[in-house]
Amino acid sequence: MYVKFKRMLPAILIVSIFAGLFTGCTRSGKEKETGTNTEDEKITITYFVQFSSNVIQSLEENEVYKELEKRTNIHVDFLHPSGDTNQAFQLLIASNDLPDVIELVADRYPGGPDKAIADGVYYRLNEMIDKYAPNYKKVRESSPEIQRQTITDDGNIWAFASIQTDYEEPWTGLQIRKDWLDELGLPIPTTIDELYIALTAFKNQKGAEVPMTWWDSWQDKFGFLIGAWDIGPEFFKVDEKVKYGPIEPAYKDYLITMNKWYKEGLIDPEFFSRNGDGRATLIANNEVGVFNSTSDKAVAAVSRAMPYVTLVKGDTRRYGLKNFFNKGNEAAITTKCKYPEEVVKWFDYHYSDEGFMLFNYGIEGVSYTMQDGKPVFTDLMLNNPDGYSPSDMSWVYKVHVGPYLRDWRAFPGIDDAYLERSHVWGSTMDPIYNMPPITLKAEEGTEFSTIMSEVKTYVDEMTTKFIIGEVPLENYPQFVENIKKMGIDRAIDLQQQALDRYNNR
Amino acid sequence: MAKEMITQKNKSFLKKLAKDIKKNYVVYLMALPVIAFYIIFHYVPMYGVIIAFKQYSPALGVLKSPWVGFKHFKDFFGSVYIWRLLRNTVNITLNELIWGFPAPVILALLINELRNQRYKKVVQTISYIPHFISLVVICGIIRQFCGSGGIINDIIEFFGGTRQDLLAKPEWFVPVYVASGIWQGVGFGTIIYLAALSGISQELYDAAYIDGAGRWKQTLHITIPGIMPTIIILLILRMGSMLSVGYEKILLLYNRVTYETADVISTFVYRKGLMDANYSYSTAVGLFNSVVNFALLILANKLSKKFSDTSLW
Amino acid sequence: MKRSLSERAFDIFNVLLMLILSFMFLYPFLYVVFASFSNPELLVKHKGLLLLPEGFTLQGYTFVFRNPNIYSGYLNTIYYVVVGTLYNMVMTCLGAYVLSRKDWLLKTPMMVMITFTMFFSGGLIPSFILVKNLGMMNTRAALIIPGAISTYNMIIMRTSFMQIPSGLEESAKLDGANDLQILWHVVLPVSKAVLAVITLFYAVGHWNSWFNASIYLRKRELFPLQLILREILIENNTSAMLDNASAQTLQDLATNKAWYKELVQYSTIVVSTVPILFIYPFVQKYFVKGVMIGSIKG
Repeated sequence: MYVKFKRMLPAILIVSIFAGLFTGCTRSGKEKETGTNTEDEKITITYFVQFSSNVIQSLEENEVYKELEKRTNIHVDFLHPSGDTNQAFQLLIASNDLPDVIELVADRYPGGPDKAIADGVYYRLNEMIDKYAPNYKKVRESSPEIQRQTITDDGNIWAFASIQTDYEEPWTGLQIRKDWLDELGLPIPTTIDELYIALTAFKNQKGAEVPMTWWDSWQDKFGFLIGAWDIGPEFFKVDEKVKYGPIEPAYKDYLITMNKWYKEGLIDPEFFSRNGDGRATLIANNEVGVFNSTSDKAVAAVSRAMPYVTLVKGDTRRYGLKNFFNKGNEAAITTKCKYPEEVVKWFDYHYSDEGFMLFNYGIEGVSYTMQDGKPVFTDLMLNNPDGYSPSDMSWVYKVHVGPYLRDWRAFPGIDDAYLERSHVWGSTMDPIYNMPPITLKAEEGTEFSTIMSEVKTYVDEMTTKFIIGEVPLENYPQFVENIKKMGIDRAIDLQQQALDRYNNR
Repeated sequence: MAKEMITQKNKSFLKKLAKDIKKNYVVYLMALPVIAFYIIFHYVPMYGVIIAFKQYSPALGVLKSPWVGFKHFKDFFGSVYIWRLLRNTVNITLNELIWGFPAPVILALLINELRNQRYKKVVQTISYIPHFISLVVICGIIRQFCGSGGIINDIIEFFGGTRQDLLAKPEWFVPVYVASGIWQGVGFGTIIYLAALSGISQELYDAAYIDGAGRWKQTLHITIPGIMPTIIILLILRMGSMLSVGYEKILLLYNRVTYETADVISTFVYRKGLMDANYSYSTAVGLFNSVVNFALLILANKLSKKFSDTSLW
Repeated sequence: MKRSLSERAFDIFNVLLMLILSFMFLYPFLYVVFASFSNPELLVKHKGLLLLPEGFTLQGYTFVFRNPNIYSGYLNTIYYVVVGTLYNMVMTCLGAYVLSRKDWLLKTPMMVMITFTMFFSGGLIPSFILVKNLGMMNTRAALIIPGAISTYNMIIMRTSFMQIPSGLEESAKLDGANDLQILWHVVLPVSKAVLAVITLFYAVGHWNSWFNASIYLRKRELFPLQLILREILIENNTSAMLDNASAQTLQDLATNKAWYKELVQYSTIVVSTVPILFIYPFVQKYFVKGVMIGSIKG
């Protein structure tokens, strides 16, 4: 008997392991139901948005949303993806596991928002907004530009966006060591030539190792220097005609100037390989005269913003940093939501006067007080006793960015120095050449990215080589021809069509 | 006639199988969970491979998304840069193979020769620490070292060369990439060889010593043959990842001037993906990589069967 | 044992070489540790090798440990490491054993089919849908069961099993043992080294993993440590490596009020790597020479 059991033992073991494969371990937590309507009209919605903070774990703990629940009787179950937000979003769609609201990445629906509506995944909001969202409607209609920025080519309003009705001044640009300028008796440069003089003086008289450092590649699109030649580093428009910077004749002039500056040692010799940390070290060690930003307090104290330089003195920049009224963070309502009208009304509150104060400033008496009729942030936000930064606090007591009527000045970290800098950066700016937020059609998008991923690789590589002198500037015509061979004209055409559609919105 | 012969063969195989299961049911029971695992978690989802031939739309799902045949492959191979990407990928992976594969073996042998046991243990532990430091930090340190003010340039200058930012020179990219990879990974890579070394019977060494063989001869005739099966299997597996040069580290170290030698398949696909999240395209390129890798693995396996006793199958 | 002159010279050379290499291997870790205690404003000015902290501050660690999920993160990771590795080892041993039986009928076809899966897979979306359909979403099982076997690890274990002298098994068979008993009583005891190595590989894999958790888990209470730390890292990353950096972190830089963000990154890294470094010494003792077969005569 015993022997028989012993022989059976291995079989029993195997079967139990096998069983273990399918039952899995502890299942903790059930998934909450969406859109349940429990006692007395309190609605619960699931809300998908990226969020991370050093202070709280979820927007559920955010004071604004807590207060909002009290005022509107809608409870929000936040779903914060941990990891790549866009990938989490794609997986949600693929597994048909949609939340009620999707914010921030909703425009990344494959094929675009128009397709999302056509596929029956998002709600088309136009009619509901007309009926239930007077505040949002009013904000949209306050300017034709805002209207265009919040509707699709097909005429669908598909989301509630973060909207700033005041034009926001540029939040980045170049800064310069004012103390050095004063020492040398030079004014803050406003033109390319004045900048050249300043950089040369920095090098020869101040002995600066790197008179000017470069910036991160994603900032190229602001055209810190190249915009002076009235062209953009990529696509831009002149009188509603789309152009591509690198094949414009002015691009050669830009390259010639940069090459000259590089040869004379005015630009960082390693501008294309140095990263943020390397730059920070140079700046903090007083080796740099012109730079983008620094966290070194001593250097920041003696630096001032330099206006976006132009070629001709007194001119305005037509290409630069353009802020749009639509700041992004669009929130779409999916067809999974059982109470779209209630949710539309709920979103509308975000654009009302009380909603404005709530989202931008928080709770009166806690995060801000009214002084002389103006809201002022409290020490809780500005000099937090626990040592948290103002931006950390901006996610606890207010909502830094989101689908509401946004006041760009309502960032507790902003001080007069910041506003002063923005003002300087905006002083020469009238960015009519910048492209507005156009959208390409789905099939066109693939064609476009195939062409542009090649073109961009080529342009990035060759531009750098022209500047450092590895390739002689006489080769410029060949450069343009190669770009054309890669299909840039087709890409410009696609952009043009998209721009025309945009203007007709 | 031939058809009947084949079905006869299958029938007799199945008969053999049925007999064997009856006789050795324990082995089959043991294998069952493993087989079930691979079927459920690897073969069931494998239908996703067809995404490479479709224009995938999540709302439609894998099965209903439209077919586009070889379009993505045509896009990929039609790129102006295809030869450069392939060349760079192969160049990097070959260098990693030639320099990076033997490195852990050599280090393992050297560590093994240390006489002081304590020192040996300490060196082992320290050697595998870089494996755990995150890539971002390692690349930050590499930048500091390779910059014109960095340590490597101090050495270059000492030997009479001129200072230059190494990461700005295309010809330096691959050496820096491969060398830093060895620096980070060699310690962790020795672990498996050290385990294999511990399995060599001490008796063999004693016998060799009696025969008058010195340490070098012992290494040549006992140690290396002793770990050879491990080396061969790992080498075959390594051949199966020839085209898999990841983009993370290259993204952190390359720049526009070094695209010439640094831009590989995965970095190009990554940049394209930033413009337009084309899941199908990246799946297609991935499939191409897999096919080549698998072919290389099969080739390596065949070769090792010919020249040694060890092989995967 | 007498050692020749050349052997002694080699020994000295070896010791010195290992010393130099050890410093090279240790440097990145020292750098991170020193940086995690350094004042970021002083650190940014530092040039050359970092051999001591610049200034001294514990703020980085305070911020990391202030995060309430750190503790649950540690506990969860320990769970995943222990339970996960156990499950891995059971499955892998079974697989490695059956594949190492020389005259097993299904050996070759199974080897080919399994190796095939190392190269071809359906990708993320079908796997995600599968896990969802199996009802494992938002459960700890999702981090353990789908990853039960690493083919690479199993192949290594199988290679090692194949090198065991057949004499051992044959004598066990003569005693009437079935395969499970052979595995347990004969194969495993002489394979301590490879078992230790593969256990280490799986344990390290679980320790470092965050990706599966990020797509399968919604409840924070289930998050492993690495995922929590990744969030901290991303939240405080001021030198973005991607092309779409957060304008907010730039605003932080511009207003100069988040000096601790760089610091927190280093502390995060230390917190996530130090524990795993303590595992290796425990595993090391299995690598002592001659642990394997005493001697089988005949």
